[in-house]
Amino acid sequence: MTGSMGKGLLLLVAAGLFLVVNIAANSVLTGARLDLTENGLYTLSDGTRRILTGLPDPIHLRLYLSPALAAGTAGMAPHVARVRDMLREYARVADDRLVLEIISTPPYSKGEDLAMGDGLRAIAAPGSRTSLFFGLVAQGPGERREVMPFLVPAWEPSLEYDLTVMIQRVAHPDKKRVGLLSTLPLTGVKASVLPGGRKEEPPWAIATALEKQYEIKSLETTAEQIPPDLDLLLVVHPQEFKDSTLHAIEQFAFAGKPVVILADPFCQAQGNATPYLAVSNPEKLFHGWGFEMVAERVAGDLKAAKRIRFNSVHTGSQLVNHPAWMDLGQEHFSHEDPATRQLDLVTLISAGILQPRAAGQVPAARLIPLITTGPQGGRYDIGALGPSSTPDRLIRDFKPEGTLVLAARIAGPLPSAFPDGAPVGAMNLFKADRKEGHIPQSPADLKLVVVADCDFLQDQFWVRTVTVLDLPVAVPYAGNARLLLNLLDHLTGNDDLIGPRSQVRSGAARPFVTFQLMREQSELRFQEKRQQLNQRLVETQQRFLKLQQERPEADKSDTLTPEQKAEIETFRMDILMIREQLREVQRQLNQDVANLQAWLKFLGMGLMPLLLGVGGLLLGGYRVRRNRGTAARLAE
Amino acid sequence: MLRNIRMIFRREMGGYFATPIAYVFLVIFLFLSGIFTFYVGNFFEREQADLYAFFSHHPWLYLFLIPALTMRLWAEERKTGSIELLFTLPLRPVEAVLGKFLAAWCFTALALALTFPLWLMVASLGQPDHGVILASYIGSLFLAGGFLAIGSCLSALTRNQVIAFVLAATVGLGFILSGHAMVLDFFSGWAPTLVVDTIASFSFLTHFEAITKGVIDLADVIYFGSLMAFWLFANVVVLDSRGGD
Repeated sequence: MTGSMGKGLLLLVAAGLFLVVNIAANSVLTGARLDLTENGLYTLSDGTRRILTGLPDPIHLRLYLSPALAAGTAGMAPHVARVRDMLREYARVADDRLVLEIISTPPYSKGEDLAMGDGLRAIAAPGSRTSLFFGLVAQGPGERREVMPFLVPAWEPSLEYDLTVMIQRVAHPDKKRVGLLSTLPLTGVKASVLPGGRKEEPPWAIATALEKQYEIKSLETTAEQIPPDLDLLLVVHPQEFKDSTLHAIEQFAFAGKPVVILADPFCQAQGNATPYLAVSNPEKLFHGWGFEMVAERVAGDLKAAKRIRFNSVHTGSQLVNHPAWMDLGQEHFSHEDPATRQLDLVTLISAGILQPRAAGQVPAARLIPLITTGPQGGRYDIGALGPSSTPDRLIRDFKPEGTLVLAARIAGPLPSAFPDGAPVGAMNLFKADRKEGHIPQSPADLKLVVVADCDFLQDQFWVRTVTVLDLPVAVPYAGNARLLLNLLDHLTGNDDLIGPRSQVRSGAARPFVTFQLMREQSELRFQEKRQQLNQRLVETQQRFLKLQQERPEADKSDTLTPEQKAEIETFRMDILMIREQLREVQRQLNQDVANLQAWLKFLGMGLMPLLLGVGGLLLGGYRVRRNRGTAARLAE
Repeated sequence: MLRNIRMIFRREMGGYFATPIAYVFLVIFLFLSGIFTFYVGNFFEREQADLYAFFSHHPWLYLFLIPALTMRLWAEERKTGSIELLFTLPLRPVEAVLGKFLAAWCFTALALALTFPLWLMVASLGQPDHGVILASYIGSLFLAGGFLAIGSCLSALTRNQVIAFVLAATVGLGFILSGHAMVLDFFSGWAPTLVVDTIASFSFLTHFEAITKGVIDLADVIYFGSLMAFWLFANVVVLDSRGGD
């Protein structure tokens, strides 16, 4: 009795130990982990670590969380766990500089009132009227605070970046100031008060992404002076800028301030279908500095051609490769430059070609390529991209010539493009000495980057908006915004955010590529058949007309001749036959997919059990025979 | 000690394959995994190159299959009386418990390894994150170890295999459900987050799902390790107190 009581006690102690060890492990060991994910998704980047360990003042993080969400309502349990884990990791790395408080917000609780008071947004629980909270508030000293009203699961791929930006904004509330000199409506358009005036347009997603980190100051495109207190100047689509504006841009750069120029030989974002009217190529500056964006030419690359859906009157909607629209992967980026080193996919649309250019007294500038085509890049006349252009023709006319530079850093020192000093403008109309205050040469450590494309900033080429739990969420699928933000961060001396940004995976989805390819091939076959059908229709119409024309004038009545009737009958039969073929293509695809799925199901589900079953039976049979043999021998 | 454990391990492994039980178990495990993956988990409809549809059902698969494997571990020995024979050998209960547990765990690992065609299949269809799949296999192995330790201990309590099965499945269900929404919902209305978190933290689901994301946290390893240690210790205590009864 005493023995069994002692053993019972021993078991109780062991159970208690099990509880204590696990509670301790859950609260103490929040960082010891082995991250096996391909991209180290759960490991904080060095940039984030530097920001966290360098926090000047303590920051309080308040995570408001409805217990129902943690328990799995709306399928959010893994996301909630991920956010909580990451915040704990942040607090661990930052030590006492970051205090994390998790506030439970069950319905009608004080936590719910606090969440509302902190500016959080509630969503309705599926199938009930209960409010659910999952938001974050970062509070620094004084009034400094940032709020994420609801942490949407779709943001999970960029979670580290978003959290780090939030913390940095609270830690360093003075955002760097970026001057925006743009002829494209990046920051949106306000509705005109005049009747028939412009409609309101929302800001581009790129502007929203920039404003998270920078204070954007929009400048007039006729500005003759760039405010010297700006930390960086971003020039977008500098179309027909006056010399005085170009001079102001140059002098800002020559004063040692960073400048990013996005020029474009054919800016489709401008909405003008005629390429020659959608050019921005500040030749005065570029030529004066010793390089050029080749006039009226755009780059192409067959291997990097973007796959697009192309609509044509003749062939209908088709999936085709567009060689002047390029999906550029890692091999196209400079691996030495911090801004491009970690990029994985950027889409450039009819980008220009940058190259050195010596002219007269001006020596050729040194371009340090950031983005290039592949070794088989080629060029097109922008006329080839006009309204009548087709991707097929572009592929046919392509002539590979080598690697072409699409974006580059320009090394200093550069001579001024205005050797005679400031051009005459409104501000210096009466100035006697136009060289007064003019900087004739850039510093050696010039901070100038030129990208020969503007279209990549357009939402349609890098981000899609989806609705998650009734909230519109921008989900990037290409790294276009990352390219620009990396450039801005690096040029303004803030490299720490490049690391966390690279943790953002462009497209966390891993689709079945095999099925996609099968569908695409089938679609091609479908298009081919449809083209055949159209071709036959045209031929029949022509034959029909010919027969009609060949009829004697007196006989051109409404009734059809036997030849015309036969022609129509042939055509009708043709249509029926091709329709049958079209259905067959579709049926074939479904059949192919179904067959593949059946095979895979057999491989995944049936093959091993079958082999084991057969193997087991054979082995069993062998054993039975062996045992019988042994028994027979013993009997003898 | 190691020699004795090895001896029991060999005896057990030999026992599995001496009868059709091993083959039947493996075939059922592989076939049910496939059913869960393709029909319940909608593998093809999801069109994602991962094995989420496969691994997400493992707790439920193990809930019935592992007790079927463990129910005979001790109950059969008791019923046939071979347990007395076993303990006449110069063998400590802890060695017998570990030997039997390791054999069962290796056998489960073999079953799991035989699902490799699924990994090949998903790699042929797209570009899966192989790190996540590897972590999921490791997590699944830990999960199986947890179920096995529970089943082994409860099998030692009875000579009736059916009772051993029911007991193991019931306790296993408790360990799954403590992290399930329907149980946590019950607490989340009134209990503080810390309590809800603690209850959830003792669930197989919470730890297994955390590992299947691709991250092997030391806390998860400690959880499964301590869980196995506790139940195997309890197994030894039960054997010590009941002997061959």
